[in-house]
Amino acid sequence: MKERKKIMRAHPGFIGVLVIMGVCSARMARAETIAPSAPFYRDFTMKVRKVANFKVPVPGSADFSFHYELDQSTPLLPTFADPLLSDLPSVPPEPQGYFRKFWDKVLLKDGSYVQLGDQKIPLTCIFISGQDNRFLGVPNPLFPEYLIKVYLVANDYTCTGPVNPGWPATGSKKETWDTYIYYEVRDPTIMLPTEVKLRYRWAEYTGVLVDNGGGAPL
Amino acid sequence: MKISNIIRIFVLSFLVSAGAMNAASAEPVWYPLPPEAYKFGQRYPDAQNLLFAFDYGHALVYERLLLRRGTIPNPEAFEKQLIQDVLKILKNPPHIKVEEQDIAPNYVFTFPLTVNLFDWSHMLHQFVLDILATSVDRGDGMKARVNEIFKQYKANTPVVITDQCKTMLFMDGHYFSKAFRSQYPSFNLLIWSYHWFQIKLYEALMKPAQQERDVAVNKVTQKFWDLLSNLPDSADFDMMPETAVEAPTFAAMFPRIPSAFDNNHMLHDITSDILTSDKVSRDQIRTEAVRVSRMDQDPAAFKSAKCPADKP
Repeated sequence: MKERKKIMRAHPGFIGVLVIMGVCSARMARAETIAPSAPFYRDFTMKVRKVANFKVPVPGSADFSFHYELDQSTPLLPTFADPLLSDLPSVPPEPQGYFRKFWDKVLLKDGSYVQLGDQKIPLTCIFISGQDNRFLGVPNPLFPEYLIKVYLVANDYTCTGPVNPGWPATGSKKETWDTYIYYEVRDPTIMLPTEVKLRYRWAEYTGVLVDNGGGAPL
Repeated sequence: MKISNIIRIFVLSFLVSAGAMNAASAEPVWYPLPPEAYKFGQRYPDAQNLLFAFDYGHALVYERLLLRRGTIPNPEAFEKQLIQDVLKILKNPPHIKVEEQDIAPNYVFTFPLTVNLFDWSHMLHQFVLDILATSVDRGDGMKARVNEIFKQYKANTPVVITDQCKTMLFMDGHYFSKAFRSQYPSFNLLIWSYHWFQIKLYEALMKPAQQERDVAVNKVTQKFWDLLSNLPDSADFDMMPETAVEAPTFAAMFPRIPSAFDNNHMLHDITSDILTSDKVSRDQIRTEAVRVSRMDQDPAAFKSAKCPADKP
């Protein structure tokens, strides 16, 4: 006992370290018991709407319509055998807890496409960058449990992106994808696309969903 | 600049901003949210998610009627598809409040005043439910709190639907009236079932004991599904359900609120009629939407002589 007291006197930060370790392990234990494992998040990628119509509203002229059809294939191996996860502690004034970030890449079957005017451009993969907010402990229907950012990527059969992994040493642009459809899903039960954006050869346009029934092309 | 002047400017700017915070905003944003906001859903998640699904369903039907206007060769098939799509959402409802803008961007853009009125009124609907579901005091305290929220609602005059009783002619007395009901009778009954459910929740939450309220909310939810089980036969409504009739206990405690809700529900039906009737040309839609929305705000328009709340 005397020896123990001696150690504590000799290391004034000892108790602090113990407290921090305790908090961390409690938090990790909570994450292990409550948070789902990586395959859970793959479900969102596979539930991305297979067909959707959008338009870019244009004032004083006909709106520009576009649509896509896709079919999910296999994950991008080996990195995305399962979605990647990272837990980030929240910072005050946010509620105590943590955000879970997740990322996934799944290739698309040949025949998947985005129709832009008279061009039918192959869609090649889905990239998901998501956030699971359920571990923040703020049940509120105005604050989504999930925020799923969906990229439907065209013309890239390697699905390398959104950032050039070796940039700037590998040259060219910082970003890799010149054409994609982007949207955000805030509720995986309905997978409703919101905050739609079309990037076409680096130029970007804000779009809106067009649901005319049945998901058929307009 | 003297320090006293700096203090004076600081105090003045504080008062101006405080005044602005207290003033009602024309935008349908309720800020700050009442402390009870969305607590109903924590106790009754299934019922709350259904309410979110109703918002989705309303927006979806308006959007499709607008997008497919004049190009619906087979209304029966259109209705069948619509019901099928909405039932999917009702059976697997969203867990968050979905922005109408995301479901129905064309409708929102074409009916700005109507959407403002709906948004503001739906917040009143929601917060009344939240208070009724959570208030520990089931008497004067709860009554005062609901009335406080109602007062805040009414302070935002640019987007308030009147709480003056209107006759059913407000809904059915226009040159385009009943178009939706006659073309899409099953879907119309689905919408009336939504409204019935909302109203019945108020009545269920008036029960004095927590356990009774829980049982009553479950019963209302079950009955709602029964109403949808075999449309149109399963929902036997001859007319839009009225709050004072379906929720008499609620109406007795809050005599002005039922009319505010009914006037909202009537405007939903009117919007459906405008979008369905071929007597309203595409160019007239915006104008008609503003005209009827203004009527919904005007206590003198279609004023009913039989308003229980007006009795001395």
